[in-house]
Amino acid sequence: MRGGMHPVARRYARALFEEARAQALASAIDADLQQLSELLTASRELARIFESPVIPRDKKQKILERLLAGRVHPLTWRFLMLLIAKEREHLLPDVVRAYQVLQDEAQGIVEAHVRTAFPLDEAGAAPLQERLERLTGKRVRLRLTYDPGLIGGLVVRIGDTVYDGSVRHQLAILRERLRRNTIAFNGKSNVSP
Amino acid sequence: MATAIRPDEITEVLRRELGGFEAEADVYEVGTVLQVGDGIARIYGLQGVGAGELIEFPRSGVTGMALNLEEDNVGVVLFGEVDKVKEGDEARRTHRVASILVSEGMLGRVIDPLGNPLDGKGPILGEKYEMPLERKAPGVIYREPVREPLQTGIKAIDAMIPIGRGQRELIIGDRQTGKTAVLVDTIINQKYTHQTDKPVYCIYVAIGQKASTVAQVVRALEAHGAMEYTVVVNAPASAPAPMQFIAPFAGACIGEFFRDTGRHALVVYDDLSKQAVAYREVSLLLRRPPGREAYPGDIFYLHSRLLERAAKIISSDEVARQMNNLPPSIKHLVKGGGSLTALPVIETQAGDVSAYIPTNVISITDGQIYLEANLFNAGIRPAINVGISVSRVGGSAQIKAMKKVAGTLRIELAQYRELEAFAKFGSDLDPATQRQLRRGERLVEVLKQGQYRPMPVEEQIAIIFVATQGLLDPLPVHQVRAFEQEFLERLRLRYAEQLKQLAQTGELTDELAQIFRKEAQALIEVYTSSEAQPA
Repeated sequence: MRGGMHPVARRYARALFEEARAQALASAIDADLQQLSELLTASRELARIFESPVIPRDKKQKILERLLAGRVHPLTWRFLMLLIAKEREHLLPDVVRAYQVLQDEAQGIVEAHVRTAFPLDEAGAAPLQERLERLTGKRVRLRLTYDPGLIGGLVVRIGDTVYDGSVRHQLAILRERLRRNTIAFNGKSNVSP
Repeated sequence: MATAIRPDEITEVLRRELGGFEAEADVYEVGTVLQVGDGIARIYGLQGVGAGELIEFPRSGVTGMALNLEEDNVGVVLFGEVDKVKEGDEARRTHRVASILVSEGMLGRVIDPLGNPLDGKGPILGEKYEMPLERKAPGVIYREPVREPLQTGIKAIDAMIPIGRGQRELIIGDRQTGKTAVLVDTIINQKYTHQTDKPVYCIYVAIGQKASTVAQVVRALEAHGAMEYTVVVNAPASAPAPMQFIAPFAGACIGEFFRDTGRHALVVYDDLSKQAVAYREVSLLLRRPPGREAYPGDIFYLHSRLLERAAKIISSDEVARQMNNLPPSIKHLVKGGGSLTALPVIETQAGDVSAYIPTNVISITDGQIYLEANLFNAGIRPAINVGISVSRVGGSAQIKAMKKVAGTLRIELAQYRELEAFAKFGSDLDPATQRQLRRGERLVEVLKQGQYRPMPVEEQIAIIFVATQGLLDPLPVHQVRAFEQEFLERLRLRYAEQLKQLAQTGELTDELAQIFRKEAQALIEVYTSSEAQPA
């Protein structure tokens, strides 16, 4: 995940989220947004159409009608139309993401991005998930990636905090330490005891 | 590197290093660079970051300082190679406020504001102590009034605008009026203190200057043996604006290291107008709202918190040890009685001292020394306008003998300036006025001084004494300086012992006054009689 979300996207997402809870439509709207999110990740073209300022609004609206009319809850539909009317449709992917963040927050779920030096299978991931859930006190959704550059070990990122147990990082620390102390050694003073 | 290094020695060092190394997971907080440009990076993430915290960019090895904490991003100013940081880079918190490693080994070196050597003389040696760039000034309990003199070696300053250790005295003037010359002479004059038990260590902070100018200053300091006790912090015009704006803070924290370990230090900021410009640049790029002359709202605080760090510390070790905001690295070394004197420089545009930055800094400091272009061009160098220059606290630090002779000097010069205007109308003046003018002209002549020629205080007293006594009145004006040189030479040869005593006790005895009078009269006789004879 790169970059932040547009503050406006967060505002729209919060409005929809709160409205859905207020009208007791949480599960329906959540499902709609989930569907939208899958749609946007599955089809990069669709995301690009919304982001493009060149494509006229009514065209975007027509595309949406073709795709979604009748398949989503009326509240979701009204929300999408509102986005287009307010000329904020380019924020749609951000809004969807912001909505999911809110949803996770409400349900006490955190996302843990795990990078490992070797591919991790289900059996390997289960104890890790349990350990992370104990660490954070929340339910953890694992996002596994494989990065041979780590040489060994794994790196877990939850929010802004990184738990780095990779061999690459250990080597970097060691290199820094050796370099620093050699300089001090040349200076004939305080070699670390 | 004369001794060869044996391989088993290397193995031993490596083994010792690896011995304590334990592989455990490291926890740190990260963010992502959203946008970078003009030496500023916007970072998403870094939720817990504090203002002023040091940020690392591991991919490029660049460091930065978090300055703006906003709703969804953090504004970081970058130090060093700005264009190495790219969008999408990881940024890491360090949990440290921006700080540099200070050591005694910095004396004699030229460093950048982050403490890295710039002079190609290898790494900085000696035990290193981490000192934060931004630190609260010592509170009132840990201070003492200024009482020891800081001799600049410049007659006009030491006599009429005395500076005490722990004082902040502004040097202000247009370009090319000799501001840097005053600073360099002051640093050179501190050489004598290193033969006493209260040496003054010097820090010269160059901000936004040409590298060639800084090289000249360093050369001058070296030539006069002043580099041994001096640190030069250099943020030249080619350095990024963030470097220029932290440079005085780096100088201050090196000075604080000496101050808090019970020693005396002098820090000169050359000059703060350029620092203000650099800070304005950074602030505007961070989109902080501009105020007067487009400077940000906290420009006054920038200078006041910097200059407040100049202080005379209480002599009691016990109280000094409880000083506020002491960095942990030097806690065990703290001693009382130290001082940090600051000489900030402000460059005015066409003598306009009522511009924003000059008025700010004038109000912060304990006095100011005005240098004027027209005096400079009239050959009065140092071009100090003694009429409007003041030192608000230095008087109590002046030695007694100097106070006595300088009192007369000040009054007579003031009277001379008043009459000077009339003198232009012609020779229709009564004898009293003519006498006054005659005296004034000679006093002005006596206060002239060459560059790199700081003068010990006892010699200053001697020459000012004979001048204020009117002994020089028979002498033609153009011979005053030659007389001064010869007179002091004679004193040094014949009365070295008495002069030394004057410097130590600070008392001008009747006996010594008599010697001065006698020697001066004898020498003037020689000058005036040779004048009468045809060449």
